[in-house]
This record gives sequence, C-alpha cells and structure tokens, in this order.
Amino acid sequence: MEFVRIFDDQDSLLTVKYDGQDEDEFTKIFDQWTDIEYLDNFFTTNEVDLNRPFWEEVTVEQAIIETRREALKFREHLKRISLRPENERISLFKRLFKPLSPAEVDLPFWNKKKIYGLRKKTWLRLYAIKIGDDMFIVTGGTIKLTDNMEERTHTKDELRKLESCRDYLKTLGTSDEESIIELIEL
Amino acid sequence: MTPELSKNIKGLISKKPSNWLKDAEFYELNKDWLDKSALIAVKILSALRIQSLSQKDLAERIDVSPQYINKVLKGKENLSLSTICKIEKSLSISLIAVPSFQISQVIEGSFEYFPYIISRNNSQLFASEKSEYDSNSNFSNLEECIVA
Repeated sequence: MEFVRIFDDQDSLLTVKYDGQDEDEFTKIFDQWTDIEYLDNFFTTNEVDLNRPFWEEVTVEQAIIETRREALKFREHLKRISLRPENERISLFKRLFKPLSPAEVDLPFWNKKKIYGLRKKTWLRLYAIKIGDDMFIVTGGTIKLTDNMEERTHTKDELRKLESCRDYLKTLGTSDEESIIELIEL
Repeated sequence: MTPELSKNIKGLISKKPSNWLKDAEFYELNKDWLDKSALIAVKILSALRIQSLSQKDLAERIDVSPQYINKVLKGKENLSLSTICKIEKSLSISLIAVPSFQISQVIEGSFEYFPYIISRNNSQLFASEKSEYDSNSNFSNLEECIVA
C-alpha cells in the first residue's frame, strides 16, 4: 500500500493505492462512476435495492445517467475546492467529511469518515480515515443503496478497506491524541 | 499527529501524482462528445438487455473485436458515424438523429388554411416539407412551423 496526493502539497488529503492496482482509489472511483458499462452491471446486479421505495422507482437507465451526472459534478466541486487558498480549502474539506457512524463521533483518533455525493438523496459515498487534525486518507468509495454497509458485499468491502488502512496506519506510529492518552495512563 | 507518524506517512507518498485531475480536465475539454458517447452506451446496453444479446454477439454482428465493443460501452469512446450506423442497423435501434432540413419563406399578406382555418393578417411562414401541411398532420405540429 502506498499513499498518493490528491492535490494538496500540504498533504492534508491523500488517497491509497493498493498493491497490484493501476490507479489510486480516488481516481478509480470517479472512473467507475462515469463508466457506463460498470454502472449498468452494478445497477442490474443490485436492481432489487434500486427498486426500494426510497429511490422512487428509478430505472436502471435513469440510475446510470444520474450517477454519471452527479459524479461529474461532484468531481468538479472537489476540483473547485482544491483551487481555494490553503486555509479555506482545508476548512471546506473538513466540513465535507462526516462520521461514518454514530459510534465514530466520539472516537478521539483514527476516525472513519464518509463524504456524501451532491444530490439530496445520493447513493455516492467516499470513505476516509482522519488522522490528527488536518489529514484525511481516502480509502475508497462506492454506491450505497441499502441502509447498512454490512448488508451488501460491495459496501462490506469498503468497511474492510477502512479497517485495513487504519490497521496499517497504526503500524506507522501513534497520533497526538493517542500519545497524550498514553502519557496520562503512565 | 506525532512527528514519527507524519514522517512515516510522508515517506510512503508516491512521487507520481494522482490522475484524477487529468481525467477531470480531459472531461472539461471533451464534454460535448463524451456526454453523447455515454448516452449512446446506455442505449446500446439497454437494447442488448432487451434483446438478450451479449457484447460478443454485437461484436460479431458488426465485425469488430469484443474489446472494441467493451470500450464503446464504457461511454468514453469517440465513435465514428460508420460505427454508429452499423450498431443502429444490427440492433434495429436509433442512436442519433439529425433534424430534417427545412427551407422557409416569408409571404406577405393574409393566409387561410383549410381545414384548420388559420389566418394571419401580416405574415405567414411556410415550411417546405409537405407533411407539415398535410391534412393528416395535427394542429400542434402545424403550430410549430408557424412563427409569428
């Protein structure tokens, strides 16, 4: 596993490139979200979830077109943020990242985070680990059609990626907050 | 973050930048045809599903490699008119349409049209296509070609 800068020289936003993969996760996910054949395969495989009342009877074709359109706007939105002055950029990014689950809200370090897509009812998700105050590492992303990530293989895979990235990061050192807690315990 | 963790993470940062920005810039420069290519791919995939055909079947029908069809179906291929026409024919679907060519002429004076009885005092546009003035055509079609 190696890390790749998403755009920031200050290294506040990184992504992961897994061994054996051609592209980093951030590039790969936007490529998938704009790949019609990938989306067609995804939505036909998950048509049962797409037919849930929450998604308002959207057809496979509509789902493909909407996903691509939203992904392109989402990428453009992130690109625009990246062009802002440094302080503003970091603060805008921090606002985008939400806790992955209520259990993560109170964790002092190594928080699992998610970013929602742009639509009010969006199924696009990016996932990241927050380290310290200003660093986020994007581990992947997916189309989430169900309530819980444990319900489907593709969302469970994203949970596994978050876990393995967090475990790997822990081998590289401790966060500030951990150090403080260790000192208090001593 | 402790200096040790920061140093270790920075040591693992690839020298090669992420390609996402390059992809975003490519889209911005080519969005006109990329958007059309994506919609064409959606339509082909939908037709394949309805007709229970595989990508390989389509490749054989239009005599190209399955790899090429796979590229087309990603919706990121700059397709030639020749390929589009071959796909349209082999799947009996329409992928692109060109608006029909129209010539219009302004005729001064009043005009009466039977059986719909439309009259204008000042000017009236005529469309060259017979169908637009055909007695079987409906009123809304006729209105579309009349611009006051």
